Amino acid sequence: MMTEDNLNNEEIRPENEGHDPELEKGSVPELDPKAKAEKDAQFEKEFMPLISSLYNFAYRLTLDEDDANDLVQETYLKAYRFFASYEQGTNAKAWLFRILKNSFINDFRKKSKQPSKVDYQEVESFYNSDDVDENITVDLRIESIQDMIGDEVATALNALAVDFRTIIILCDLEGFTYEEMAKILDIPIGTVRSRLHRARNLLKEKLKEYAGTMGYNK
Amino acid sequence: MKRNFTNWMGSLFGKPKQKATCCDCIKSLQLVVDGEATKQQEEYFLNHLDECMPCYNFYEVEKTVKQVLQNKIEKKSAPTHLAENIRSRLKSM
Repeated sequence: MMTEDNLNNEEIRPENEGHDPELEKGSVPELDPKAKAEKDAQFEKEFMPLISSLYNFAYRLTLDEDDANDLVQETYLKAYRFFASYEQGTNAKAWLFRILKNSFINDFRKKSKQPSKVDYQEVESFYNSDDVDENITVDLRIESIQDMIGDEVATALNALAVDFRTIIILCDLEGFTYEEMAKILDIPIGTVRSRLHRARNLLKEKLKEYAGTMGYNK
Repeated sequence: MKRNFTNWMGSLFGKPKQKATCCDCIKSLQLVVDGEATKQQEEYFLNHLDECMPCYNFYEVEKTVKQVLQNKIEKKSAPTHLAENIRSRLKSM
């Protein structure tokens, strides 16, 4: 487990949270060409290699290629704008994931008229307690999970409410630590644990449904 | 912490240390599967598995689900034009 010592609370926090309408105007302070070239080179080296991880995250959140493109682009523009606040050698990936997730929530809230989308308030109140349901055990056979193909697993994952999906993506697909997830999602570690626990139980229920329909379970 | 206390209580009353309640185990199970358990928690939990079939089965399922998520879900790569679009936007910023 990570200790408090190796964490810097500011390390993945952008200076300015949330959606920034100024961003579209490209109002980055003017730099002389040499300084800009240096900044660009550093940005390229530190951040651009993470583009596929970010795209994958964006795609798993939005489930749409165009939306994922937009979200990744928005994330990079914002990161560029606040690049001065980024400390070299700190956790670039966690910082970018945090920006992307915040942009997603902002865009998502704007579109929240859409009835098919999850109501955030509802989701929050659903899992916000730190109590962990000890009793949920899903009877799922190991063989039935192992026999599933990726598409079936992805469909089960996609069927989860966005916050449950998010925590599984961060933990299991991207391999972030609890500490990093707490910062990316702005929630206490206890909530990371309980949300993850619930998300996995919900996922297992979905997998069990699939296993049932596919005849994997006996 | 709570579990250490249980351990301590167990040893105090002469019960074998591995007899943790399985309720405690479910909490440490997640930590072990995610690589977030302390060495002590992990060792304790893995010992417990030798003595408790339900916990063992549950652990295997959790581990398998995690592996399947890690290995079977397609990792989408960013389309090539995306990085170029971003670079050209940044140039003009």
